[in-house]
Amino acid sequence: MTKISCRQICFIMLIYTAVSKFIIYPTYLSYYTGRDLLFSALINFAVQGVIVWSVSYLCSRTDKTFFGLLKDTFGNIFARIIFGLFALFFLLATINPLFEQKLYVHDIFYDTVPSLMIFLPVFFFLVYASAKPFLNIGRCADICLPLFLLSMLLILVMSLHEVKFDNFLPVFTQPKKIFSSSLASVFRFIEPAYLLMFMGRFRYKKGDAAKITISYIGGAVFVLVVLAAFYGIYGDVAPTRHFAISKISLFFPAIDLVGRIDLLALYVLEITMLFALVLNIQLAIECIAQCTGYENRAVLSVAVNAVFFLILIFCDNKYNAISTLFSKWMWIVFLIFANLIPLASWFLRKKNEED
Amino acid sequence: MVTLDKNIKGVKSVLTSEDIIVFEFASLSGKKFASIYADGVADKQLLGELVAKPLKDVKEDDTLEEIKKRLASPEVKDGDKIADAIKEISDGNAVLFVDGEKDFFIIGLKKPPGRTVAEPPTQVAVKGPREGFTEDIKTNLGLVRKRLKSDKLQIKTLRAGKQSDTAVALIFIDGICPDGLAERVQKEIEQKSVDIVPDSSYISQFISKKPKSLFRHNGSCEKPDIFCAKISEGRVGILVDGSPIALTVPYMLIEDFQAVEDYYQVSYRSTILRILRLVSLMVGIFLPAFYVSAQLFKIQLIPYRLLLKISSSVSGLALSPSVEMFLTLFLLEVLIEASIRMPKYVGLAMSVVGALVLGDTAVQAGIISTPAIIIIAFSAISLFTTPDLVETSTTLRWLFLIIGGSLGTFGIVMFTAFLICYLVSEQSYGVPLLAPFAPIIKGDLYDSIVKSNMYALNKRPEAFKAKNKVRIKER
Amino acid sequence: MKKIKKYVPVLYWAIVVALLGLYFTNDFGLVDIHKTSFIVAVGVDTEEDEVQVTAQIAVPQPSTSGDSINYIEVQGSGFTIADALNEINAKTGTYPQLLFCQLILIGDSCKDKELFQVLGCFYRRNYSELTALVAMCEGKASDMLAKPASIAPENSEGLQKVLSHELEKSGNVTKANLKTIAEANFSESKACYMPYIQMNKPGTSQNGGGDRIGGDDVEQSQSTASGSGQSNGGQGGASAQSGGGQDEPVEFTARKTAIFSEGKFAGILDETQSFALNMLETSVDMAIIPCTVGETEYTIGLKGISGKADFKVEKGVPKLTVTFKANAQVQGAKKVLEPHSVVNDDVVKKEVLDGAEKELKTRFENLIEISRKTGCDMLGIRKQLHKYYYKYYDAFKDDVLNRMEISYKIEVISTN
Repeated sequence: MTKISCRQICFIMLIYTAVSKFIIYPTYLSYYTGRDLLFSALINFAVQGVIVWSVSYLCSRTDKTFFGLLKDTFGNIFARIIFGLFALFFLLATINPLFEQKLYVHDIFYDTVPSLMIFLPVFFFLVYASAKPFLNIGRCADICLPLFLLSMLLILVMSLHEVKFDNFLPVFTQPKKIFSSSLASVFRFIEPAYLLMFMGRFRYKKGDAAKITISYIGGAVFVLVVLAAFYGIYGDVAPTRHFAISKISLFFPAIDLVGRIDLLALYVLEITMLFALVLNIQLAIECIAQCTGYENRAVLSVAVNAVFFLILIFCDNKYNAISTLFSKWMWIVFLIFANLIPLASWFLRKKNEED
Repeated sequence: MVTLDKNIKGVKSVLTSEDIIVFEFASLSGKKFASIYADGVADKQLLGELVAKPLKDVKEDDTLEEIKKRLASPEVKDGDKIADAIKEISDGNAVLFVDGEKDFFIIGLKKPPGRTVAEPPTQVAVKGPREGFTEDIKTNLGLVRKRLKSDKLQIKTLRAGKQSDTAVALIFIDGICPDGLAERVQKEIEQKSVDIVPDSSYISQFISKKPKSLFRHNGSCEKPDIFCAKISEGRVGILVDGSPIALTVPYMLIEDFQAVEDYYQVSYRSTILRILRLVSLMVGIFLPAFYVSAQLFKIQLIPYRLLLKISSSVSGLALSPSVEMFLTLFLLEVLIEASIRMPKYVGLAMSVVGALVLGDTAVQAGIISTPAIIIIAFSAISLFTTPDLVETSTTLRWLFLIIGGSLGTFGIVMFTAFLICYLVSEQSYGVPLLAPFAPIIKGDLYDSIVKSNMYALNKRPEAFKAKNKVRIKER
Repeated sequence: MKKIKKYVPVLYWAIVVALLGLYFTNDFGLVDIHKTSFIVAVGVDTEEDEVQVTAQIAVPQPSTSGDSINYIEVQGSGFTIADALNEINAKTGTYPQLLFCQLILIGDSCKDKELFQVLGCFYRRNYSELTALVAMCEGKASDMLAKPASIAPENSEGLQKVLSHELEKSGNVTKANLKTIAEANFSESKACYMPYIQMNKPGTSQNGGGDRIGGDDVEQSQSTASGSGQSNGGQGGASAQSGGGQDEPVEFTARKTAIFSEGKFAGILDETQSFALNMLETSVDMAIIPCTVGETEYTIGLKGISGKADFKVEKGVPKLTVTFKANAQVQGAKKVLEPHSVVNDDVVKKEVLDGAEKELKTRFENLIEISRKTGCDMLGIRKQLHKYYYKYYDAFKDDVLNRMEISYKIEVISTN
């Protein structure tokens, strides 16, 4: 049953790829890699781009879902186990963005209120949005596209005049750090896992693999431009500036006259960030439903978000520890689920024995 | 043989009301007739001209057929059941009984009191037709027929309301309207049992899958040109007797941003106006909420020099920014409601009270500030650029204000995301509410926020899945 | 499931009621517009181990037209700026918002301190925006902030006018904000600069010599006013005075530049040196220079200016080329004006052009001389070495300023 269209998948690759990497990722890279941050990001995007192309091309060879492929190759029980693991993976993939969102929201939306209390109401939205069916994912992406493009256009136009490209010179002075920070950033790149879940749920037409890959590259370009603008503006001071996307348009001359209109663009962008966050939870719920056979999305949504709620309360003010945990230890999990398994899915049985 | 008295008694025993008149008359040869009608609804003059006068020459032994031929009325139906006679009399027609005959004639003499066709107050056009629907369904059907002379135009008449027995007409164009749509609408109306249907808004709730939703699921209009244009795109139109508001399904939210004049003027001007309406709606809904949340949570949103002015204006107030805005908005709502309800003669005095006392004096007294009044006034005006959405947008304005004042700017963003999530999953008879934006329907985008010229709109909207997709074709 | 759906409207109503409660109380530590004070300028002075902060605060007064603003100066002291601001908070009873701070003034007393010991607080996360202008001032910052400006209704506006974009474009002032200072200081050049503000009585001219290199005491052109540690109430239209008594309005000028090397104060560039620095480091649209040709002094207007200091390493030898190009026009001359000669103002005589070039060269030479003497790499030579000639960086980084060969390509042509 067609639940999402190729166009909507392209939008997801373009928008959601980019927005989740605007918050802490630029500061992190500028701290660890310095002026070579673009190369570090490029490595991750290049690897992921190849895997995205691979998975989207796989969709042309079969019209089964990923669950169907696993079931046909290894049996129902194994398929359910894998989907259970993927559910855990998507939940894990939500933790870091959730904490980043909390810090980001507190910074750009508020001046003086307690951060945790003011962020907790987001769970009302998460519970509601996560319970929505698959159809909802694509349509939200349709709405997010113009919002994303308009806000990014405004932010980038306001930032580009202050960028000094010679801040990136000299290049390749610390090649080891480029690779180590790439590896440590693996947990931020999970787009091939999304595509695995979309497999079989859209009608593949000729050329769709190229479209999806180009969209992913488009998202990558946005991230690279923001990274370039961030480091081009702040240079060596960049590691002191968190939430890069909110800092790059501060020096626009008209801000003194009209106020922080870049904040309005950031608020519009925040809508897409929220939907990007919800996507992980929706896919987790989808996997749980496939694994357990329990179809009541509302109950699953409440349960899953209750877990995040507790994690957020008990791990408040522990973002550094969580970030270190993900970058130092959990990267292997993300490597397996977002890189190796998508590549390995080529070896699954694509056609039935009767075929 | 059924005597005239027996028939008359049969009717009067049910319709006991004094406005049911029995007009007994006889021909020159002595043949007796009795016409029963409802006073004030049937046209007595026509009764005399088309019924009584021609029957003067009826002979004693003339048959019913011969009597029927003498009648001058173009609308004469046969009837044999007293229940049908009662129904037709209640409907405004006249029933003609003939002495000695069980069967009777139903003469179409309905002329209920009503307004003449005039420009509707809620949909004003500077350029374009000025006719509007009235409360009489027959007049309305006539206005539709005047514009859609197609032989494929279909009108299905239903009855709704146990007591009111209101006539409801489903109108669609066969060959354009998707299969099954009219039947679905008919089924929804017929399944609901209610006492009276005084207005089309009742039908609107019947045909909506989610009547409690903040957003409506069917379109409405008061002008026949808009109505006909919508039907020709593949929609089903609904006219309700007693209501000048016509309904159309399926519905898309973008319809409320499209004014009738957009199609009568140059397209680039229409595009600008549509963008203006969209921006005005956003401003009208979000501005009070952002104003309050900026003062409470994120002062940086306000430009520095403006901030000093606002701060100077609010610094002497006794109320907090949130209470001040709540109070100002409440005053506005009271003013709007009172101005609709109050008698015209009191209107002038009340407008003085509203403007001077509530506005100027309240500011002088330090209860509310000048920026708050400006914001609320601007918000109020902005919302009326899309009058069809006023009910929804004023409710949303309240909700956003409460959320903005309690949860701040993030609350506003969250609630916006919530609304988007809600709207993308809503549908009206299979057509997504946010079409053609979610899902994106490329062809339909030419007449969405952007209004392309007429030749670009050569296909009907794809969202409605009309059977005949071509709208304009070169010969 | 139906049971749950039945309770969903109840849940929505409960949320609305809860939100209404929050809306009308806002009782969760919120600091709103009523409780916030807007600091528009900050002056920093040091005394032994303590930092004294003078905050110029905009205090809006109740008004229906919204145009009644009072500016007051409040002082606080502490071990760090944050400490001092906390004291200001305690004195004013409002929450001090540095986000609107447009000017940070560092007093003469901070010369002995590390620059980033003084400024470091402003770089802490979101304490203030890095767009705030930074300047050093003659005397105490608290005194300068207390003086009424002759060209603007309030003091900080007057100070900002002399640091305006227009003056920067005319080469008369060197602008610096927190970002540019940090960028420059933490680069390989480890040098930064900022405008040096002085004040004069109206009608007097700025002393042409000014402070020179080597950390000499700056000439005091105004006696400092007393009044540290006092705060004022909010009433009265104009800026409130510290120490009582109505001071005369003063004129501010910022034609000199304070330079820093490795975070330490290195000296003050006079007007001609600052001019040379601006020509090379800033995008200047129009500038005025005097030149002497024979016995006549001319004032030349320069337009279409492009100036830069290009560093190269050619065959292992570091070279600095100072390039300057401009179109010149005679704007004034110290001789009797002959009407027919005005027509030819655009056609500047060769000797006048040569005089202008000579004057410019002298200024550039002075600037580079000071840079060498103080070791303050204000032209960013080491930065360019690191960026473009990385392989020579280790070899030259310590003495590139002294080793480099300097050449000048100065071209001033007539407008017509």
